[in-house]
Amino acid sequence: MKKKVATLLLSATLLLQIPVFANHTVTVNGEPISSDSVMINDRIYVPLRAVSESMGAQVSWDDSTQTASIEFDEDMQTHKMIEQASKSVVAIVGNYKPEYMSQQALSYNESYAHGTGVIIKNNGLILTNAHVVENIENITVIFGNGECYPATLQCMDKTSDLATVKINKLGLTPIKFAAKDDIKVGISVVAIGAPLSLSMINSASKGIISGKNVSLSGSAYYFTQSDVAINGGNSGGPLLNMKGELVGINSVKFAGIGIEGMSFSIPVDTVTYVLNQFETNKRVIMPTIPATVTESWEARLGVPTTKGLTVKTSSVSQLTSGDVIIAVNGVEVHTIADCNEALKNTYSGGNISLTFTRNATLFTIDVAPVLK
Amino acid sequence: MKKIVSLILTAILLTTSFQVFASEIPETVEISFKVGDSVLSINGQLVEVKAPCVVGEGTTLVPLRVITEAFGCKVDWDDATQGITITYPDVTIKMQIGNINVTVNDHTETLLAAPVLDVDTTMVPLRFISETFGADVGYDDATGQITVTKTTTAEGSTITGITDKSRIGDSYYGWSMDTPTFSMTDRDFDGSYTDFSNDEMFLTVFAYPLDAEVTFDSYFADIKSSYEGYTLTRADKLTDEFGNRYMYFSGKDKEHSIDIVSYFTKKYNFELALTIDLTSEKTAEYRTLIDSFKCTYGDASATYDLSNVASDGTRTYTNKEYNYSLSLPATWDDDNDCPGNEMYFSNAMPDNEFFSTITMNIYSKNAELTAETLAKSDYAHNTAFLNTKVTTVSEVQEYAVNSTINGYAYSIKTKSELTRGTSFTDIFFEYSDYVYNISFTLDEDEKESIIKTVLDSLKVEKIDFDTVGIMLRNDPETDITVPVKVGSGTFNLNGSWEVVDSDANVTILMHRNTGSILTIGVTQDIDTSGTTEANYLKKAFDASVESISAKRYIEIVEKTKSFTSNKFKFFTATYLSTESENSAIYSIVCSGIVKGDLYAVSLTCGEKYYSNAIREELMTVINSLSVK
Repeated sequence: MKKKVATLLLSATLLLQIPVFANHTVTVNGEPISSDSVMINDRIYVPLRAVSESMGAQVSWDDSTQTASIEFDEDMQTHKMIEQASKSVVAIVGNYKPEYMSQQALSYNESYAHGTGVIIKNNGLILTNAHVVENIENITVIFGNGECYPATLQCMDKTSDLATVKINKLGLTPIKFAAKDDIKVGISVVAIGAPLSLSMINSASKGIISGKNVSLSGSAYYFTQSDVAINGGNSGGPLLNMKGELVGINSVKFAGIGIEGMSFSIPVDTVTYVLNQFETNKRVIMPTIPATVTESWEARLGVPTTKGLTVKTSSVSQLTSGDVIIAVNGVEVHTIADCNEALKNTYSGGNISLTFTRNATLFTIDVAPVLK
Repeated sequence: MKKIVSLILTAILLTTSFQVFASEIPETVEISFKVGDSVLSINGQLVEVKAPCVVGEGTTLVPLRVITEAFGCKVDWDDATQGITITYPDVTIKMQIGNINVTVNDHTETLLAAPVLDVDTTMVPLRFISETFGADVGYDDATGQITVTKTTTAEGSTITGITDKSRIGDSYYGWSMDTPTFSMTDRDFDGSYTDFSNDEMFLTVFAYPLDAEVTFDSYFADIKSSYEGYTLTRADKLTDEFGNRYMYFSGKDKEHSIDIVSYFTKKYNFELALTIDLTSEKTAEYRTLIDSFKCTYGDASATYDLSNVASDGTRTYTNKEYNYSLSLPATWDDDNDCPGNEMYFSNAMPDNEFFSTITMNIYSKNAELTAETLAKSDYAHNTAFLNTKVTTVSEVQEYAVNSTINGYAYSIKTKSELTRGTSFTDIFFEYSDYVYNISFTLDEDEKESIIKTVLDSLKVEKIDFDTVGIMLRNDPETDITVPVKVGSGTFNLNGSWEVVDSDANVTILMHRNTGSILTIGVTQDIDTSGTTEANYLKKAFDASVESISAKRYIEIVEKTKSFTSNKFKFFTATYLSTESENSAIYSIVCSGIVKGDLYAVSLTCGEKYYSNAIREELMTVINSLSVK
């Protein structure tokens, strides 16, 4: 009698072990998967498709053999991303204005300038480097399939080396922008462009992000550094992550300031800042501190430092030569690029606050910036 | 070469097939309203609709009817999915009530706010749809007025529908043809091209001075090869009734037929590029039109004149945005690709090799930027490196621009036997809150009287600050240090040098002031075994001097001598190259061995800038080299 009851009770308890839904989550690379997972006997069972697809793999089901196949091929992933993203990448050509064709410069430039651009709005707005379109006329945009359209220059900012041109074509595929935090050292990136000649339109090179927030002496803003091959032809084109999102705009202009194997791209947050300025002001109105400063020698060498910027001359009475500026609008600054980045991220009109030391005393003042 | 490319590009410009929307799609779209209005102005009519509203963080939604009335697009509604499909030439948008994701053609985009069903009215985001359809959306902060505008005709002098005269033409160039029944959509300032189009064809008539280097037969061959990839059905060489040779090409691909006709007259080239959609039923009519083209203006009373050349031989350029106008001789052209406050005009000399240019730059006046301060700083910048043997400079002085405007000016004239002469006059004046800088760079064959012609005709009016805003002159910072790494050495240059190209062993830079080119190259870890470094260097330098000076157009103007930089020995020599008939070029080359690497630094500049100052600049560059 006892045994029977025990077995009965046990089976009843077993039957009560129903699957428990959704008190737990499954995330792949930080993103929760789209379908619910199931816990049975302390084991989590996940839906095959949701997990595999969120890892970038492809899942297919063969009914006749009752087989589920998972395919993950990094090369195919790269190939598909480039194929899709190439729809948004164009070559830009034009001929140099006669006044810019000095006899000497001619030998270093073809009479046709060319670079790359990326479509940022479906109605024909294209982003590229300022230096690609700056001294040329008859700007023409060429798609990978050979279609050509005349373009007009919209806005240009030489400081950030970005410019926009517009063609009269609707229904184009714009590139998607990555978030600023998506730029992480070590992730794979691809540059698409027309490297050496127009016959190589939409050719791609792949590498990794080698550094972020890199400041180069003589340049206003930070750069993203990568080991992707960038040269005159694919300058102005996109640097994409493996999802095909824009993480930067490549620029060959800053290459000479580095070493071989280092390429620099304008990060997506600087791009967004400049595009917003183009839309509201038709140009970039850049706030700068009302003083000329020198960086500490550590900053000039690129060594991390806590030292600030020493004032050389100032156009406001509250600052004098010798003061050391350590923060702008509350953001610590050690290089001139830090200053520009701080203002780029925090300035919204009016005065700026500068924190500086003079004779070992800390001061904070409110001054009007110089708008450039 | 430039002309062929623009010809071909124009011919293959319209490579997508034309969709037949014809009468329903308005060429000009205009919507005007304030949020909350229930009567909106749409394409000139007042229309009563459910009031537009603002949702989320400032996205304006309008009733779908506003979009369809304004743009003439087609709409399909799917009850089951609450899906809206909007069709417009070249674009199809698929939206869904409550969904911020939309499909545009074959890709997806994200809206700032989803479409909404308000009782029975579908409300859709105005900006996204308008911009996707090629319109511009503006918002007036002060009044709250929202305006949407789209003009399919390009800016400039355009006429939609022409005249009731039977012929149209250009009296300046001397051409005419039957009046087309469709619109003229664009015409360049100097009349060098005129575009006509409707929804199934595109015609451009080109007129430009003959290029002495291009022969009829070579041009024929070039056009023929540009038809590669098309089925060529006609390629004839003919002569017209006036004795002018012309060529007639016809070709087609899967979607279009493309005809190119090119006339070679005594003075000008006239070309017609006609692209027709293959589905058109009027192909014969369009071809008859281009057959009616003649290289003569003909009977003035029966011809409508497109030319904007006045009786004194000038064209008037008007800039509406910056409120000024000036007259230029008929051979001058403007540049369509300039930012509005930096205009550029050019005139090609008869042989097409040399140009004169005029620039008009306008900037906001402020404490640091006035006509006088800008004149003085530009003067300093442009005269810093001049070769005084071939240039004459007149300093900044007060200058009467014309009878109503006064300002400042300076000039630089270049005259030499080896280099084609130029004269540069830089003029500055102020008007209202802005500083104007008009400069003339004239080729030696250009008449100086053009300066008076342009300045006397210059009319300046107050610029509307609200339209134009602040205009700043963004000169690059030169007071900074630009480290340039070549091999294991670093040259610390000043900001007036701009990197043009670089690889591991050679960096090429351009000087912003003078256009001079600096080439820095390195050969690392040279093998000087068996001799001293100094001997190796001398031998290598002498050998390179010998091989370069062997060329017949090279002359050594400064013989090899040595100097010391940072305790390292360098050799230097200077050559003059007269390879170009019109532009003498000087090259100062220096070579030295620093810590086992051989550095070659050379500066190449035009005769105008070959001066002690540029030599000193080169020495500064070399002295800035530091090797670890």
